[in-house]
Amino acid sequence: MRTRTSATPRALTALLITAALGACSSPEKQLEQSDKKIEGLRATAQTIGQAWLKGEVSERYARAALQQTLQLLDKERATLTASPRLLLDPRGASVSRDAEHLSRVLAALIDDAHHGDDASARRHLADVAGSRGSP
Amino acid sequence: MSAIVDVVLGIVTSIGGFIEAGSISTSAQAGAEFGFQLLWAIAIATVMLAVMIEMSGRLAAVSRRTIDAAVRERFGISFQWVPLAAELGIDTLLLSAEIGGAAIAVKLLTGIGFLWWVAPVGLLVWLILMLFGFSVIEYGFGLLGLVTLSFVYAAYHLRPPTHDLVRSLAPSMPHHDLVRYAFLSVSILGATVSPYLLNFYSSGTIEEKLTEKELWVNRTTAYLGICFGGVVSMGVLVTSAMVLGPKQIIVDSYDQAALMLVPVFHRWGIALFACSLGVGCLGAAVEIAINAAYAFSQALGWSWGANKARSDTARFSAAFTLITLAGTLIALLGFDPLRLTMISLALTVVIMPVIVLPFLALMNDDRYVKTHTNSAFGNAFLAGLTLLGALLAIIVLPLEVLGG
Repeated sequence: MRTRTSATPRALTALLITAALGACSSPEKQLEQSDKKIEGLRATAQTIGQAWLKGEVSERYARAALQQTLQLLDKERATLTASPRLLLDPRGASVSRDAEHLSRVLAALIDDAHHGDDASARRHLADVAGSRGSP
Repeated sequence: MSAIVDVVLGIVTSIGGFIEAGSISTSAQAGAEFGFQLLWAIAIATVMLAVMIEMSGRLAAVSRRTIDAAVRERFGISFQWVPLAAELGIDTLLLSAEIGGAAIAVKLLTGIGFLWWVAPVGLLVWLILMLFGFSVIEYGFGLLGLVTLSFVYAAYHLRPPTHDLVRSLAPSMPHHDLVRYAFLSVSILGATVSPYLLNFYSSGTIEEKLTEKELWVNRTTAYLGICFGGVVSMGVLVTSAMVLGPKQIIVDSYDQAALMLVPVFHRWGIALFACSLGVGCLGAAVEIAINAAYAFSQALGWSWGANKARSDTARFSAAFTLITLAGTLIALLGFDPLRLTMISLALTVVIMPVIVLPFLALMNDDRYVKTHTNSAFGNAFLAGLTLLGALLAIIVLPLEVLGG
């Protein structure tokens, strides 16, 4: 007679079920993840830009790191645009617009770092911070 | 006196040699995404590694055999192909991840794309293996690796709440992203308890001629060195949680992870991160390549030894040359080094039972370890965690890969 179930198999079963549900990720979840990633990249760009303006990181590092951030952003945008369902959703469209705008500002920031243009970089950083849409 | 010097040097170099691509990436991601919540995973993995390292040294000191040589003798070559193939496969993947990590470190300093540095790093790994003996490889990188203590200083400087740190040493469920949390736990285990370390350590015990009478040196070095090393890994996690977490930066590249030291060291932050990553990855790449050569040579009964003239160990030298070449070529394919590292680490946990379980059998065989067999607790602790980790890895790895 089975009288008791140990905690470990129960936890594993719970994880398996959650994992299986996670595998069939809903558009909602995908959108949430994309939004989170894009916000993380926005924060990265701001942190790099501010550190460069304060002289805490070199122009070389700032440029390379911003380029890497742009690549990651492009990858995330590709994920969004690959799914028509996501783009049809108004929130998906908003996140996509946000990402596209951020992409352009990042490209401008890379150019600022290349030319050592502090004033323009400040303007673009303010744009990075203010460009958050409402998904 | 000499034994005490050995112990001190062993502990210091264990601390310096603890950090590499895997531990930096997993700790940085865990801290940024889950705050201090995954500190328990580092704590458990560190204890597990210390126990396993002590066992591998004990086996080598008492039996005068490395793990791979003993497995071959005890179970036969037809059995050994399985763990050997698993170990060599993972070693190659990890090696390319470490070469990629070292190349990224140079990129952080120069701004020049990392792919340009992959071949020079691979060549440097090979030259170090060709030119230097075991002591230089182990102690040299261990001492240089003390630069990683900058993470511990940064964590201390940022004044994390002690109560939260202590509470995070006990496992807890996350409030979000359970699969990601499980994947990071598994990766932390894989980053800390890399199977290559076991045979590398037992081979080192033979190279350094440690005897049964000096088991206390092995025990002290393993437990203290590894546990202090775990503190460095925790330093990365805490610094990441304090700096990157509040900004909601998700670590998807080493460039992002490097930002964690900037608020503490300002203009030196990126350079310190790059040096820590570079020294850690280069040291690990050299250890992985030489371990693959150890494993292959010991399984096939070839002459081996980093302290012998390379002309006396031609096949051993050919083995580390080939694996270094393979690792460099994979790194040159241009996979994202951070992603390659994370996947390799999870795979490491999947194959761990194949390597750990035969090793445990040896540790209970008095023909090898005489009266120094394992305690029942040691056996249960290692076997349980190894199997649980592998099961978890099998579940979460496909989900993480498919989920992007």
